[in-house]
Amino acid sequence: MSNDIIRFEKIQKQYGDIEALKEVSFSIPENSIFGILGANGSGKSTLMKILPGLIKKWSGSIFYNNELANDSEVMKKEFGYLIEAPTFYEYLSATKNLELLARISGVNHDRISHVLELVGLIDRAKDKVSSYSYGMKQRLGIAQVLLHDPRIVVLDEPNNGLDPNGISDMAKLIKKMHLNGKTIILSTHNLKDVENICTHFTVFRKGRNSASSSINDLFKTSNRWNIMVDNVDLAVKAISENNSFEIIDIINNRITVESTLDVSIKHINEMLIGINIYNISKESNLIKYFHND
Amino acid sequence: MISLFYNELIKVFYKRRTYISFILITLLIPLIVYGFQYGALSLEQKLSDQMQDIFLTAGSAVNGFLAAYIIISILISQMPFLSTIVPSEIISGEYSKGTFRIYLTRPISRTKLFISKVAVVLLYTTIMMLYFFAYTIVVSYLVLDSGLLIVFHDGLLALEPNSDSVIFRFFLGFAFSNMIMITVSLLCLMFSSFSKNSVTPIISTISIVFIGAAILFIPIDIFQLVNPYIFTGYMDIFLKTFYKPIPYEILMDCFIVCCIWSFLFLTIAYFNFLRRDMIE
Repeated sequence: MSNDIIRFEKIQKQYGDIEALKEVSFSIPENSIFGILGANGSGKSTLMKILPGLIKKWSGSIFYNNELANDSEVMKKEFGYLIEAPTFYEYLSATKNLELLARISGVNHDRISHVLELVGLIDRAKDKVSSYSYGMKQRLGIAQVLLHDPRIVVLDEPNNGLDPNGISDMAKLIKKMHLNGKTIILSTHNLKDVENICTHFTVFRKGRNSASSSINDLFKTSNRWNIMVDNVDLAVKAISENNSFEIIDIINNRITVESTLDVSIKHINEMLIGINIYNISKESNLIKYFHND
Repeated sequence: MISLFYNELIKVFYKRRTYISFILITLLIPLIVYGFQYGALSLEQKLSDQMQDIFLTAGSAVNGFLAAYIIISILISQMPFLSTIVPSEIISGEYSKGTFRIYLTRPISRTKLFISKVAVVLLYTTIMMLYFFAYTIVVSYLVLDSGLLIVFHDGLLALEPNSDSVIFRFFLGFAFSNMIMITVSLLCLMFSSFSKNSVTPIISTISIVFIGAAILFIPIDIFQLVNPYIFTGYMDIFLKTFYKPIPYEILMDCFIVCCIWSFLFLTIAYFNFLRRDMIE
């Protein structure tokens, strides 16, 4: 029995002559952080907008808990959305904005301070949104997503426009929501977001998508390693003497190698014995999906 | 539904631009009324020049009712500008600013949201028109007092405040002028449902009102023929409520024409709003 909570089947969307989505099909496992990776214009946001019914004219089927849910109210009740940039009624305060949404979502107003506390905006709750920085608006966006305590959280490019601190805070928030049992759907054009945050992913390219995979599989099938050493010359010599490894790239103290065999960190340590190693990490195959899918 | 309506009220009445029309009316009317007070002598001279062949005049013809009548009949042609302020952006504004991306992801139906937006547009237009009429009459009355209302219809017509129900005629003028303005507002709402910004609906609406006014006033046969069937042909309906007797058949025509056009604008706006992709 599959534990997929959402299934997309042959989703198609056309803007005039442009085919934004071409028979997109994939499934999202329950309680996963599912990354939808793709370049700008690959169709990610279009799919995100189809889910809550922001886009009306499309074809295909969306199943939620194995039941057809095209344009269904369940896609709004059980889901929380932050689509593209966070947009609010700028002339109203954060509290007032959330009150508008609480009122139509049937949510008790007491929850407003709870979600504002959660995203660290409680001290600025009474300020007009127009006085907020982009990062604060993004956090308010998360607050509105969580307002009705949805089962599924849909975040479209949540890191766009955020500084490194903001990106780090966002990652923490996403992981916190995941730990609280929510399924997260995250669209991004950043490979690192998928590698660092997601548990599963699919790659969009020109309106089509790859089959969904787990991030674990992505690392399992990869034979590429990044090794940071203090003496690059000695390390290069040692690697060159080993037939199982091929040097792909050298940047400063970092050497990227690919092995022909299934190796572990232990093998690399043994190969580089006598050389100070700062860090060894496996590189995922995601870049291959991104470019070759 | 009540929640949606309440939310729309908050969205509209927390916005500064909503009050532009009220501020303009509040500032402009007293200025004009005081202008009447200080220019009363010359206005009176013009009136008595026309009346001296027919009447023996005694006392002043310039009073609060006359001032209100003249101010309303002149400014009513400017009210379409003010009545577009809210409907012009009630849909397009949310579309262009992207607030629909958050609002429409909630468990609400687009039909109910549309109805609540229409209700707010109707409320705003009616409050604005009521304020315009009531404020003009009250300020004029307070500054210039009441008296015989002399209006222009088949020459000059003198209406006695009580026996000729002057206040009732003002109310009738308000009711039917409001109907015209509601039609203008709904026309603007229709454009708003298609537009990506709030300027295009205003320009489009005012252009149509402008063309309609041209048709109303240019004495060409074909224009005279179509005039009764277009709502702009009744832009001067306020003046007609001061005819003696009151031309109820024209008022009824105005009512029917406004209803038909309003229904048409609403239907187009509704189906467009229902089917529109919110992609901005």
